[in-house]
Parts: sequence; C-alpha cells; structure tokens
Amino acid sequence: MAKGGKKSGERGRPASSGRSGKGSKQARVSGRGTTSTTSDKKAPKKFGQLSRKERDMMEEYGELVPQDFEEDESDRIGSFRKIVKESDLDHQLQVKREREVESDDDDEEDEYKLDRPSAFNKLIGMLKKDSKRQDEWKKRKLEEEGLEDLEDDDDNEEVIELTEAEKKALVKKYGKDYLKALDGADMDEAEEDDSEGEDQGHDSADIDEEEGGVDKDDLEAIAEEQEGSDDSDEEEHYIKSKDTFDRHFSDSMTALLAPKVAIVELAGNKWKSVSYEDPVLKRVEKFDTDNPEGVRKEEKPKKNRLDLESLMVKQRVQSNWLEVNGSLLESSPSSTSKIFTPLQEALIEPINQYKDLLFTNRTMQNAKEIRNLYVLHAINHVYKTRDRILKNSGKLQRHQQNPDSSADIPEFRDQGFTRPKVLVILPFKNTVVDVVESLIALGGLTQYENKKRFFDEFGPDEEVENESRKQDRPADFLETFKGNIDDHFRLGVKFTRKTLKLYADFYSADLILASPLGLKTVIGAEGDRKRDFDFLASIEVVIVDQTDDMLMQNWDHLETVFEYMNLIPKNAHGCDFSRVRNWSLDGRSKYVRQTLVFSNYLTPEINALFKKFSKNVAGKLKITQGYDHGSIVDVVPLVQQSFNRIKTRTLAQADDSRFQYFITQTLPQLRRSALTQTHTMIFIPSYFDFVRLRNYFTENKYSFAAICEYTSNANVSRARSSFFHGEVSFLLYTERFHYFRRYNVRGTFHLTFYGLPDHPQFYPEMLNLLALPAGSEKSRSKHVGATGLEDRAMSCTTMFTKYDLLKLQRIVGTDRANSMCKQEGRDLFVFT
Amino acid sequence: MFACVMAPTRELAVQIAETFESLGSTIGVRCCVIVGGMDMMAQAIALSKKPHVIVCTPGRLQDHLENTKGFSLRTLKYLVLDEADRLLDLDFGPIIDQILKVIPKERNTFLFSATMTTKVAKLQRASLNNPVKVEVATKYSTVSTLLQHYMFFPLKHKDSYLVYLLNELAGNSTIVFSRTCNDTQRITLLLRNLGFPAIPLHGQLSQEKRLGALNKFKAGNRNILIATDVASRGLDIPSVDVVLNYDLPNNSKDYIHRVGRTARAGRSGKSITFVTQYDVEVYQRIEQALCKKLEEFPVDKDAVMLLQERVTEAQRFAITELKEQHAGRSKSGRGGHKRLFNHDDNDRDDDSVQAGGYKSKSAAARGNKGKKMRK
Repeated sequence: MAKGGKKSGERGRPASSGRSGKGSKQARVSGRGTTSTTSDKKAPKKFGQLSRKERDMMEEYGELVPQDFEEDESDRIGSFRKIVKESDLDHQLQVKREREVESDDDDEEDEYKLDRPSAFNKLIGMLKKDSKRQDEWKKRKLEEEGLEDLEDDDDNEEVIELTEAEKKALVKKYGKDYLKALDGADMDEAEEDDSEGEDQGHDSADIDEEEGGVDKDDLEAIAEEQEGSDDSDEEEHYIKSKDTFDRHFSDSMTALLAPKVAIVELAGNKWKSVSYEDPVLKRVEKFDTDNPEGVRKEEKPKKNRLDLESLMVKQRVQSNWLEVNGSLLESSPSSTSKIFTPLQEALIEPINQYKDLLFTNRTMQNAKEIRNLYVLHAINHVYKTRDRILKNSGKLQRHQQNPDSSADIPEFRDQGFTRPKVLVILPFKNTVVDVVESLIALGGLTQYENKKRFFDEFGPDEEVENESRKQDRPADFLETFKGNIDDHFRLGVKFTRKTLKLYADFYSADLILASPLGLKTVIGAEGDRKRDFDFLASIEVVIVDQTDDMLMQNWDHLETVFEYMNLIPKNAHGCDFSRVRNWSLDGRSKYVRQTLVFSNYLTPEINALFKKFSKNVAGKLKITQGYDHGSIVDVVPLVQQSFNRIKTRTLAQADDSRFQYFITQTLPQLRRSALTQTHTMIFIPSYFDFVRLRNYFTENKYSFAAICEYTSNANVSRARSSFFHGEVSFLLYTERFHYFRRYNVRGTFHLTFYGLPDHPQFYPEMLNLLALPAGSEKSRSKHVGATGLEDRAMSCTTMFTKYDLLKLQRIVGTDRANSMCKQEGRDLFVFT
Repeated sequence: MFACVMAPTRELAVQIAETFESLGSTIGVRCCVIVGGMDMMAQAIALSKKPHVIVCTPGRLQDHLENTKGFSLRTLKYLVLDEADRLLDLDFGPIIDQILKVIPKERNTFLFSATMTTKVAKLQRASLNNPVKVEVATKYSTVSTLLQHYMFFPLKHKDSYLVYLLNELAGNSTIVFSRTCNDTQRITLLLRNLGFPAIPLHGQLSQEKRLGALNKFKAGNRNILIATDVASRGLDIPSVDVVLNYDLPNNSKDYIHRVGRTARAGRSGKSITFVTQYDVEVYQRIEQALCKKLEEFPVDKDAVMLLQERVTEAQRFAITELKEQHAGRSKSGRGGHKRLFNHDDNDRDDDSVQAGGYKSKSAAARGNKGKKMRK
C-alpha cells in the first residue's frame, strides 16, 4: 500500500490525487532510473494534461511508464500489459529484415538498433563493455587490420561530429515514430545489438543516415553511447598506434591480455620458438605469443631505415642521442645507419617493441653500445609515461573546472600503483656512474639535484685506484673492477620537466638503479619487522646488465628481487586508484613487464631466471652465439689436457657422481704418481663443492692448502707460499676467488679442474700458470733443484658432465662440446 | 557505480553482498564488500575496478572516501540504508552525514527496517526527496508463527536456567543473546565446559573469526550461537529454531529484531526471554510495545536446582579461563591490548549499544575517529 510521504522534501510533493492511482504507484515503484534522466525532453502526449512538476517527477523516476503508454498509443495493442505473441515477434522480425535490406550495408553492423535503451539495457551495455565478447571483438578487429596505419585521432573525432549534426537534421525531418516497430523486439537481441553498437562506434552513423528517422531520445542515447565509444576509440587508437609504448602499456591491453597470458602460462615451457641466424646478433631464438606454434614466418623485407622518429623516441631525447652515441659511431665506420651501430640497430627493434630480451653476447667492447641503448630506452619510457600522465591530469583538471561536462568525467588509466617504472640492476657502483652520466646527457634537462653527492659516493674510490700493482691483471678484470666496486647501493632517480633528481625517495622516483644486494636489504626476508617491496609493484621495464658478474655475487638476491616484483602492494602509498591500469589491478603487471638481461655468457642460472620470470606477452628473444674454437686456443704451454666425462643420470645426482668420481678415480691417480703428488692445484667452481672437498681432505689428513673467497688475506698468502714451496702438495682453489683476485698462483705444475669455470677465459688463464717461471730469480736459485722449469712435468685433467655443456662450449667450441657430451662409448677426450 | 547499500553490521553487509552475487550473477553484476576489519588495500583495488554495487558499513566507507585516492561516489544513483533506523541513530549519524555530503543529490534513497523510526530529525539525515513510506503494519509486530515466552526467576539462577533450557531444547539450533562481549565469551566457555557445542559471536573477535563463527553456525557444525546484538539485525539464518534472550534487550525495537532471527519466511520458531527481579520494568515496556502478554515457559524448578552445583563449577572454570585469555591478550604487547578496545572501526556494531547511554557512545565514536585521523 502506497502511502503519501508525510514529510515531503523541500520541493513539496505534487498532489498525487491529480493522477490515476495506478500511474502514481507505478511511477514510484518503478524507480529504475535511466541515465538519461538529466535530459530535458518532452513528455509523451498522453501526459499532456499533467502538470509540469508531475512530468519532471515522471522523468526523475524513470521512463518505464511513459514508454508503456507510448507503446499503447502507437501499437494499439489494447491492453496495458504487453503480451508478446509469436506472430507479433515474427512480424517485428520481418520488419527488421526489410529495414536491413533497405540499408545497403550487408555488414552485421546493420544490427545496430536505435531502440530506446532501458535502464536494464544500459546496465547490460555497461557490462558488455568489459565482457569477453568485446575482448574478442576487439581482438578480431585487430587481427583483421593488422599493422595497417590508422588515420589520426583528430580525424575520427571530426567524422563523428559531422554525423551527429547530420543526425539532428534528420531527426527534424522525419518523425520519431519511424522505429516504433522495433520497440518490442526480442530482449536478447536488443542487448546484443546494444553492445555491438557500442563497439562499432561511428560506423553506425552511416546507418543512421540511411534509416533516417531517429527518436530524439534515442539520439541522446546514441550520443551518449558514442561518447562512450569515443573513449574506447581512443583506447583502440592506443592499441593500434604506431607507438609500441601505447600498444603495450595502454589500459585497453587488459582485454587482450587474457588469451595471451593463457599462452604464456599454459603453454608455458612448451612455447615453440623460431630460431635463426643473424649476422649481427648471431643465434636468435624468438618466442612469440602471436605465433605460439613457432611457425617460421618469412621476415618481411623491412629495413626501411631505422630512425629515432619512426621509433617514436621523444623529441627531447632525440637531439641528444647523437652526442652520446657519436663516439661509438665513429669507432665503427662500417655502420650503415647514421645513428646506430649495427648491434644497436639490431637490438633497438625488439627492445622498442617491449619484447623481453636475453642477450648473452655482451663483451667488453660492446658494453657501452648496449648501455647507451638501454639508457635510451629507459629514459624514453619514463618520458612517455610521464608525459601521458601529465597530459591526462591536465584534461581531468579542465573537466573539473568546467562544470558543464562534470557529469561525464573521462576515465584515464595510465599508471601503476607506484611511481617507479624502470629498474636497472647493476652489480657494481662503477657502472652506475656510466649509466647516470648517459641519463644526464640524454635527458636534456637543465637542473640536477644531488649530483655532487652522487659523484662523491659513486665515484672512484681513491685508495683502490692507487693500487697500481693490479695493473698486470687481465683487461676484463680491470674493466670490471675499475673505480668504485661497492656492491651495496640503491638509487632513486626522479624526472620532472626540468630537473633530474638523484637520491629521490623510491615512491617518488621514476627509475631505480640498484644492486641485487641493495634491493635485498630493503626487501628483507620473510618475518622481518621492517620490510618494503611495494616500490617494485609497478615496474614496467627491468634491465639487468652484467648479469654474469651477479652470478659471482649472491644470485639468490637477484631471484628474490624478481620474486617481489609486480606484486600488489601492501599499502596505497598515496596512489590514485582511479588512474591505475586495469591489468595492474588484476595483478597482471608481470605479464606486461619487459625484462632485458645482458650477460657475457649464458649459464643455466640465467636461463632459469629468464624462463621463470620473463612472462611478457609481447614475446621474448634469446640471443646466444656459437663458439668456433673456444678459449682453449689461448692456452700457451704445451700440455696434454684430458677431459673426463663423468656419467650421470640426472642433474640432481651430478654433484654426487662428480665427487665419487673424484675421490675414487682422479685423486688416487694423482696421489699414486710421484710426479703429480705435489704442486697440484684443484680448481673448484662452486663453493659448496669446495667445502665438501676440503672436509674430505681434512678427514684423510692429506697435505693441502685451501683458498676460497672467504679466506683472509693473511691465510691466502700463507697458503700460496706453502704451495709454492711445496710444503703442501695440493691447493684447493675456487673460481670465485679467482674472479675477485686473479692471482697468478706460482708453483703450479699440475692442474685439475673439478668442474669447468663459467668464465671461459679462466681456463687458459689457469693453464698458463703452468708456464709461469717457478718464482723470481732469487727464489729460483734457492729451489733450483726441486722446481726447475726444464725438468718439470705438467698435466691438466678436467672433469665434466653432460650438464656442463654450456661451459664446455665456451672452452672447446660448440661443435666439439656437443660431440663430447653426446658421444657414446668414449669418456676421455685429450687435447694437446 | 550504480548503488551503495549500507548496513550497520559487517555480517549483515556480507550477507547482503552474497545475495547480490547470487541474484546478479546472471547479468554479471559486480559487487564489492567494504567492511571494517579487512584489508584496506584489497578493498581499494576492488573499488577502483568500478563495481556496480558497493555493500558497506558506514565507518569503512568513510575511511575509503577520505583515504583512498581516486574513489568517489559521484556517479551513484541508488542509496540503500538497510536497518535504516539503526544507521540513522546518533552513533552512526555523523558518519552518515559526512557520506551523504559527497553523494549526489539526484539519487534514489531507500530506507528499510522492521522498526522504522518516525522521528523527523532522524529521517532528515537521509535527506530524502519526495519520500514515500510503505508499511506492512502500523505497529511493531512479530509474526504469528513465532511462539513467545518468558521465564521469571532470580538473577543468581540465570546460568542454571540457561543450561536447563538448552538441555531441554537440545537438538534445536539456538541463538542466545546477551548484553556484553564479555558475557558472551563467558557463557560460551561455561557451556563448552558442560559439553554444549557453543560458539561466540561479538565485536571483539577478529573479523575472520566473526565470519567463521557465523558460517559454522549456518552450516550446522555448532548449533548454539552466543551473540551480542551484532547478530540481532538482518542476519538470515534459515534454520534457527529458538532465540533465547539471556539478557533483556535495551528497548522493544531490539527485541523485535532479536526474535526476528527465528520463525523466518513462514517457518515456526520459539523465543524465550529471561526476566529477573531487576528486569521487570523493561520487560513490561516491551510487552506494552508488542501489545500482548507473553506466556510463561513451563519449568520444572527442582530439575533446575539439581543442575546448580555443576553449573557453579563450570562458572568458576569459565571465569578462570576468561581471566587467562585477558592476561594473554594484554601480555601480547600494547598492540594486542589496543586491539581489544580499538579494533572496532567506526562502523560500531550493535553490541556497543549495550555498553552505555547514547551520549557516551557517540563520544566514543568521535574518539575513535579522532584516533584514525591522527594516524
């Protein structure tokens, strides 16, 4: 029972007695307001008698009732409740079909229908906007149009405006009764059409033209919908945009993400790849979500001259690039391009397309080319994101200041949860200086904050520099360990319009430069009271350079960093949730993040990292190389080098079989021979194996000395001297110690590789120790009888398993390594 | 964002959201629950995904309006206040006022309650537009399928009578309403000591425990729920057979809501109210409001007295255990202690009604809010 509200609001309630009881009741009960209530349209004739206030109220409470009345009038069905008969439906369908024939377009777009959207329909329409249907539709359209260039956004808008004006004219011309017949059409169909119409944006304008008559209300609804589709057009524009940044990171990716994620996740490790040889990149293995079957497509003959413009590099950056890269171009005159070296030219494309990249052919020589390239990419990405956010903020502000349009504030989803978007992981402070210098040079900014502090803290450590005695070390060692080799640092870099601020707080920084250790200490461990990793939530580009050096640090830290990346943050940190991209909200940022890994060589660890954490839907590239001869050719002394293959079934057993083989075969052999029982160095790549062997040697009371990366300087010298003088017969020596010190251990006559070193250059380096003079002149004269070079026998034994293939390839060359690992019935390979 | 539904208690909000989901799933309605005691971040993310319906308790919603950037109710079309009289009460009042300030004026507002207030001042809060009132009956009423009884006995035998009754009614699923959280906890321990499968539900439990308790009761794993007035309103648990008012409700409204937990949707049910020598006046007011005299529940007094000894023993155990729990909580550091008193967010639950007069309550609410802002 409806009862008149006793306390009417400020407006005062119009007398309901003026209307039929039914009408008033329905008007109240049917409060399913439509979004078009704001429109100030005329009430249907039947309500002509009603007072203006009543009409207003009618509108406010929705138009369901007026609509019913209208229908009664036009269709003359005769009953208040509409009874749907089969014949009616058939008739309506026929009418619709006829209309379709009239309009010449034979697309399904014809189904766009101008029936009055009810509140329910609108709700459905809204839902459809994010439903799968639309995703599929968009995807289909994308596939159809492929890489075609689209006309500019502005043009599109113009078209729409025009047609809207036309429509209005048409409405004037024709009555609004034209489409009445369709009003009662099947609900489902209406829904479908609604959503279709929404999708197809301005195409429908043509149809309108042909169909002519449009209800005024309908027109409003269309206008609204088209406004909606305008937005989605803009989004679509992003998707198809030439700029890969838009294509990869726009919010509309959300819809396209699901099928691609399925490919990445489900097919997971079964991704088929395309492999090919590239003159510059050498071996390339390409994984693609668009091409999961790994069908080799004919590469289209592109080479239409890469330039910064076509790569959509920001103007500000373009002008500085030549300055930064100029010196490199001069040194490689063979380059065909005026802006990139051949390597850069080959790499910029996948990088700029936001594909993941594992590049394992980094060398001392191309390090700078690569660094310049990723700094260019990083700064370009930061600028693009920043500019878009600022532009959209401006738009929003204009909307807010302008009260007319306040009803429909557009939605911009253009950022992540937190501000940092590029993470550069480097092993030592020394390369950070290079990166920051490139950033400064490329950025084109005028002010720099904390620059002095940065160079004080990251600049070369004078004490270290003064150690001139290190100058006899190999070049790669000098390069890696030049300047400041602190491995515990993290640095936030913030870009604003004019300034570059170093040491910015992480949550206001755009780019973070850090070492794995530096990040790990902030991330903390499970159960720590104070830990923070929310700043990693919205990283969009990760660059890991000198990955091989990180292997010599704590590899776990790097994995931890990746594990905590792109999680949903624990705290908001003042983020504006209405601007966060939908795929970020869904926790799918990791499928959009680009991972760039640069390393001097490939190891199983790097491989695993890349497989586990690189889930970019844009696909990935793995670039490796074959080794013709391996580093073995650098061996100077004429020594017989024997490679023993250890039989092992699984990777898990490999360590045990190796140990067993060593204590049952190699070691007794060494000890049996009178020659090899002294001055024998055992080279051990892993610290764990080192400990195992050390314990074994201690238990058996063998005469030995041990040097590992944790040994103190005093103990190292003691061990070296007693080994040199033959006081101990064995020396256990780890790869990591050699990596950090590169000592020339004199007095080595026999060498046993417990396992192969990861660094290919270590193998010849160790072997060349055998050729060293057995000491300075003075000590030689003392021990002349015992350690004369001439009468000295030398030997080298190496143990390997088939799981050491990658290491072996680098040392003996790809082809030989493959056959050594696969060959049946032969376990001993001898090189001289 | 289409609609916002507000409810006075978290449990009720969750229940409403479940209903939205089950009814709306066919048309893909997305609904999100914004209640206290849950992770703010997860809720912020849910809000930013633009759900069609927000079901909330007022305190947490206000919290989000203040602290979650990019969340607003500007586009809201419908506002529903469930248990509106409770929400428009003084202790929710200021929060509701603030929320209404940021909701567009052009909206449809719906107020629902079994005991709608007639006070103009209260209704003004909701700032309605051309309101219509729909009533099933003019006075507060209970359904005919509900058998209402009372029991009159001295206060000191209260527990014995409770145990006796539960024993008599064994096998029925029962809700026992008490006044304070502490009482609830004590009765639960006492009953468990005597082998009854009782489970507590009150505002001092963590939200997970609260929902867990309710689900266990709903699923029938436990058939005695000891609750404060948190559970008195709106909760729809179909199979409740008996409602026991261990303590009398403060006012007749609460009585209506409490006994409304049983005899739902045409089913039959039973309610028994304990009246002691101190409660006579309040009880008579309730009878007056109901316009009917209740029947006394027949009891075998000797049988009750037989239980006395066992019950006293159990009481002692329960009190020791309760003390231990409290000690444990305060020992666990300042945080734990604070949580004991402060964990209820601004969406103060119904149980707090029992704690004191209206004035002190709203003061407490303000105090709470102050703390939050300082954070």
